Amino acid sequence: MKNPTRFVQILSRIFQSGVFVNATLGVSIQELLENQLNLSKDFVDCNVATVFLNGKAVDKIDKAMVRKDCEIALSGAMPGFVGATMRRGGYYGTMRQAISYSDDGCLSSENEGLVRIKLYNSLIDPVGMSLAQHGFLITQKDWESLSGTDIKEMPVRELDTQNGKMYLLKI
Amino acid sequence: MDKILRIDMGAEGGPKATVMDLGNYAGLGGRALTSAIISAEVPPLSHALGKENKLVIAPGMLSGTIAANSGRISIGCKSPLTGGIKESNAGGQASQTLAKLGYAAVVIEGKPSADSLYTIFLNKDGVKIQSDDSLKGLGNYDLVDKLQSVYEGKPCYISIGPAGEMMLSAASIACTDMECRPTRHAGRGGTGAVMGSKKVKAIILDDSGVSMRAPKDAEKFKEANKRWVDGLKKHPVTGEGLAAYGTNVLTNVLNEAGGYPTRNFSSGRFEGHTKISGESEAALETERGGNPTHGCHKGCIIRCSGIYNDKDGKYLTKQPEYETVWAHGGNCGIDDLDTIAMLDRLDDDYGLDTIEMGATIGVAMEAGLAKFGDGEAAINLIHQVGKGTDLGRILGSGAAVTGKVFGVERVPVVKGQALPAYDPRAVQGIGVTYATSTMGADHTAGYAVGSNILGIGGKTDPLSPVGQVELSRNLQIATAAVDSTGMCLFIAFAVLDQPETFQALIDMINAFYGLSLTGDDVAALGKSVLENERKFNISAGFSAAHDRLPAFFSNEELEPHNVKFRVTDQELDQVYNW
Ligand code: SF4
Repeated sequence: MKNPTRFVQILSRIFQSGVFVNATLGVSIQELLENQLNLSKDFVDCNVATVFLNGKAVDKIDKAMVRKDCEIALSGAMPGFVGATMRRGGYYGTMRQAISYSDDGCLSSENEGLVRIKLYNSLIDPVGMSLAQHGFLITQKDWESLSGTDIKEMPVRELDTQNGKMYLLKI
Repeated sequence: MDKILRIDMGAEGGPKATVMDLGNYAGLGGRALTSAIISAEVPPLSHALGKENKLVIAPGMLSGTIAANSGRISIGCKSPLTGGIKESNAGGQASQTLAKLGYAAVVIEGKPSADSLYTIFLNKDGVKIQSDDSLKGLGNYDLVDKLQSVYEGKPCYISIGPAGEMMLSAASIACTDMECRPTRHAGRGGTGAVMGSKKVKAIILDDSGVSMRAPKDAEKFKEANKRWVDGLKKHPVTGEGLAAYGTNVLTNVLNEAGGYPTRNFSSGRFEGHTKISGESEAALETERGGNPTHGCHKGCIIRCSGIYNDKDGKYLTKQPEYETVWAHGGNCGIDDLDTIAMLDRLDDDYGLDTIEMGATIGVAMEAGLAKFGDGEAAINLIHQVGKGTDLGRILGSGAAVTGKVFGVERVPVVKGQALPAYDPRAVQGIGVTYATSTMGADHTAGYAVGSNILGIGGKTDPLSPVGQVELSRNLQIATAAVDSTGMCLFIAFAVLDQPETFQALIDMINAFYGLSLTGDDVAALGKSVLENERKFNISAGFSAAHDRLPAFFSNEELEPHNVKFRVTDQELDQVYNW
């Protein structure tokens, strides 16, 4: 596809519900973002304000570990009081203590595996672009929902995975 | 803003207007003024729809000036929904206009014995009160259209729809926006019912021939406003985030956190969240020729609002904000933005609080009156309210009444007012605010307004359990102070993160009024507002037992994190110990 911006726009809804990335396991979220998805440290520090690991709000992304089948959601800064409570390391973090992430210390026996990444708001475009360059998988259902878009014209690889049939998208 | 306009609707011979000095109320604005007048002048045990209640409409301290985002108006009364004191605030043009006309407040008192409806017209030459029964039963949109053909120039309007005329407890008061559409509502607590009880259908505000309010120290004020604007613009949330997606940007994040109340608070995640998220809403608005970046009043530079067009590209409603999309969306299992936008339009037209109505329909769905996810049924239920059918009047009385009538146990209310869009089991700190706010469950009662910068209450350890109570207390104090300035609460982020932006706000107040307030004085103002409100509520019969969340939050686990509300009653009782 010639226009990568358009590519990311078409996939906006799918980025929100989550795409899959084959990632090195046992590393921190920070390492995943910076070393595998090639986001700069500056970008992560300034723009990735809110992070969830398996639905729990993360305060320290250098301590939260990427494990097989985990779900990571990334968001820019959020408005309002609850937005402030969700921010990583934020002053109001205590107000959502019940859903804050704490590492259980379990180690993964595998080195590589699929993780699901969800992108929200101001991060859809820039992180979506990094993902597009890195390559990511979407489910068959999501692939079918793209009918009628330019993406359907792209050459894609169809893969059989433990999560069923998936489609590898890369620009 | 050196005078108060009092209108006695029950005076002999017809409504009578009197202009008075500020007297003891000098130096107050917005919520500080509405709550001071209500707590001093309204008997706490009076009936909210009776002649002893008063409706106080007050611009903020900085409204009517060039200060950015200073156009929020406060509307206060004894609430027919909660039975306690109420301050509900709204955007739109009314605050700036009323302030420019020089009124610190309009106080509507008494109650006419006849059944006529009235309009109140204010301009630089004074006040005109007229009866006009041709306005009876009109929705806010038709009402404003009709009045626009009568009043020349570009006045703005404060009005009620049929719900207010019927004095339903979920009735709101509408304020027109920059396009003169009745889209900005003082929604919470049934203020519209109180305006209806006074038989006032509309207030027309015309600021032709008057100028902006002049500060005591113009140079200092201009310079502080520049720092203020720079601070708002440079912050990622107030400068970009809110403009791009509006407040509905919170849908995905709350859902991810498992704190998005779904199907009447029965779980914390909604499978249809991406269809109704702020990201999807903004994309749809752009595609249809609407606009996802729009201010609700002149002088707003954050512009969190927008224009929502229908499938044919015609204006349908303003961009439904997060609480509305949640209330009529995930809370009712509805994942269609057009349905939610239609519900928003109907709420605005009939004059209803979107949060209360969404929560009420959620309770009605749980009672079996409609199926979760049935958008058409939800639209029909709102029409029942607008038409005033027997069922509609029950629903229009709010979630608590609806739950009682239909025998529903899971009714998400505190002090009779419906909870907004954040489940307190996931975000326990907001549960403290919902439980203890003088207003009933209210997400804006404890907003992130930089209480850490203010240092209210000294230094607390935010990681201790007691810290949650202290933070909630400090947030409520700081919020009460900001509500008095006329500033939109969305300034919170810039103020929270940037001490110099908070200082710019204080500098503006000081330069405008010739004062030398410090952060401590602002905190003292916030405390005094809450003390007035608390005193009123205690005299109205409220006790510690009213500062509690409904039992199901402590008894039922919330999926997906299986959490319950764990803050103890003893901790809740500490909030007002300062
Ligand atoms: S930020 Fe939003 S609510 Fe606040 S004044 Fe602007 S448009 Fe109105």
